[in-house]
Amino acid sequence: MRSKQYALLGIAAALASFAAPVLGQSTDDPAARVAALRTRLTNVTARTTRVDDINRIENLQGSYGYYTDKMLWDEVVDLFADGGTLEIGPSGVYVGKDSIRKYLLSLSGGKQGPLPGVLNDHFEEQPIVTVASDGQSAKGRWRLMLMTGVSGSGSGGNWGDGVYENEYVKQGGVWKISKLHWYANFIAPYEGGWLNADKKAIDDYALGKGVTPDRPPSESYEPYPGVFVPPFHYKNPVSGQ
Amino acid sequence: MTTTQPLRAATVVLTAALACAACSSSRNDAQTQAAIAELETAVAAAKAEVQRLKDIDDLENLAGIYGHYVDKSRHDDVADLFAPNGVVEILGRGVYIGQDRVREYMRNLTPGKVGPQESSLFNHMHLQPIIDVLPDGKTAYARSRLFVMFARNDNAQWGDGIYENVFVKQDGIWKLDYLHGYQTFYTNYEDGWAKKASAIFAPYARLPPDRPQSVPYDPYPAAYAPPFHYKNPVSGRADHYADPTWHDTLAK
Repeated sequence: MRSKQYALLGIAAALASFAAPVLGQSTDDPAARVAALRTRLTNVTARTTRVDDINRIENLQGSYGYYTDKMLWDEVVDLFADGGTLEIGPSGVYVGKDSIRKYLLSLSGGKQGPLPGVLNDHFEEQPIVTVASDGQSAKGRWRLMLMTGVSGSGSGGNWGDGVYENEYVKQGGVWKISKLHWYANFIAPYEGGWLNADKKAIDDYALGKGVTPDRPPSESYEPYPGVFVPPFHYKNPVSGQ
Repeated sequence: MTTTQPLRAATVVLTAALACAACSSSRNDAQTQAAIAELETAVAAAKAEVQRLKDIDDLENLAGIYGHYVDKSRHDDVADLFAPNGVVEILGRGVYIGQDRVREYMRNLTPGKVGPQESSLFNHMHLQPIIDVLPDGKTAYARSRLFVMFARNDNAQWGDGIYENVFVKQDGIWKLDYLHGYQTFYTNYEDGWAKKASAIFAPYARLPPDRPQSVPYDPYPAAYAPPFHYKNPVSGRADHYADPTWHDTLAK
């Protein structure tokens, strides 16, 4: 009992002797104050880097949308990291830039750039971007609203809707897309809108034309009017559940 | 040995000790001063970065605020968002130069009336902003998407377009310097864009512009990509769409 008390006294004394000069330095020693300030500043710049990372990832995904609008496939492919993957609804998984390029070109008859009569508007909205604690990777949930159509086809066009759960990687200080995964919710003709949603319209939009994916679809699910919730990469930000 | 010898010896030792202490102290001072100077530079850089991030938020708000005012035809509030030399260019309406002309342009949208009107819808959604603040912190560019729900009496329309806007910071406040709205399509609700889309909107005969539209183009269903203010964020490739041969070079 007594020996234990002595041991505790010893730890307390050691802590006191350790703490005393630290406390003294933090108020009096300029070098210690400089070191403390340097630590605080490092914390501040870590936060500004995180905010900047989120902005850059939002710009990256926004650029994906603007380039896809105009079928500027070279620009889209350049947004991916080497070995990056793309999966659009039931398309299957295309792995690497070459595969992604072939898939995208197949959607527009081997051509790129805006085509007369073709509308391909990809609204990239409602981002929830979560940067990993090491600052080198991130995940993002986005909503895609589609307005597509072929002029003169007889239809007013198509509405489309779905959710992305994407992943990003920072390489050489530059954020790139490492995984693009769009979960189809519906694609529907302008006439009648989503009450006329049709799985065939999703296939027409998403399946490569004359190209084969590197892997089959990663998930099987029923789009609207079926029921499916694309998994969330994040926990409830309030309850933490 | 004299009696002064021990004293001299002690003096030498003491002087040397003091000198050594002073030497060490001044070295520490110099190190601390250098560290403080380094910290000051780093703090200034951090402050500049925080300011840039804050600017991006302010600009996002400014673009959104423009949309909310336009929704409700608050023409004077809209014009007040512009710099004195601000410019507006929308669809094919032409170019209006200076805040007074911007005000005339906006008021001309609902001649003789300001504010929301019965049986009218003028919703201007500003989406998907890509904002870049230049290193000077005084100029910024933003691309954003415009999505319009329009109605006047029994005519309802969808509208779709791209903004490539320029902003300027004056006296610490961001203002619109050049609002440039590109027309993707306008269509009647009954038709849909792939069935019927409006030709480029012509200048108002009742309020001729100061200059014709700066970039002639035909909207959808013609093929046109409004120029990008930014380089590809990964490859760094610059906008090549000013070059009419870009389509051929890409195909190679």
